[in-house]
Amino acid sequence: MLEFTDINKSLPNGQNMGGLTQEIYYGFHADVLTWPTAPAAPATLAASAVLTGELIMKPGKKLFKMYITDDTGEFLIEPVGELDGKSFVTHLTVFHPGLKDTLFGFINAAKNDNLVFVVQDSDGQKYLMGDKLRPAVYAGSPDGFGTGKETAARKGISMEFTYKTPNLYIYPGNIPLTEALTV
Amino acid sequence: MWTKYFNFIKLRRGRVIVPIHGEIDFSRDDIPVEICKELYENDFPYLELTEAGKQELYPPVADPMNQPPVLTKKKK
Repeated sequence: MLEFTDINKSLPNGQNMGGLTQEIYYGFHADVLTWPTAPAAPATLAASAVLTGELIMKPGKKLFKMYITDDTGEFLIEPVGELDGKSFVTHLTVFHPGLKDTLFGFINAAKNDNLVFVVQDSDGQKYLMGDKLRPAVYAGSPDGFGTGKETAARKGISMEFTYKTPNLYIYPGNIPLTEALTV
Repeated sequence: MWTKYFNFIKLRRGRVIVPIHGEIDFSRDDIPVEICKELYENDFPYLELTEAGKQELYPPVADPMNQPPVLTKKKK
């Protein structure tokens, strides 16, 4: 049975820096073998918000890094739904500079496919976008996608990805950037 | 060298983002054993102990309940 508890100021070492790190990690939803699981019967508020287990990829698959311009990455949590039907949509917005072939290829492949992301905030806390039932999906380019107008403009691609989740969780696990082996 | 004490399992030897230490490239041989030990003790799923690791890092501890009684000589 979940017990309420006092919620005090909790900023370890006084840290509370905003924004994301300059790398996000992504892959195809279909390439995940096993997902971390939500707590089944947590006894505390903290335990109810932490995933258990690891994100394990299928043999030969891994997650990939994507560079993002500093101060352009945001993980935003939007509560949605009517009374007795509340849930969350999490939004990842990032900007990648340049209009190069690799990123065009990524957008071509990702725009209509199911994805998974792991993002890390400036304090090192990680958030997983995607679960066994639902993927993260490309939602658009809210801050532009192109050359810009002026020479001083920033050429590149802004991207937004969304993921719908019944509850909010922290992912304390590892991020495999190397291919999984056959078990 | 850490590979004397640990096998890297489930993934091809390479990069993993781990809590606290960030990205570690397990294809390198110069990862401090202390970091591997810390990861292993925190249930890192991609390391397992070798026989040398079991013997040298976690030597078996004698069970005090299973020791033969120590006989002391009575003073006359």
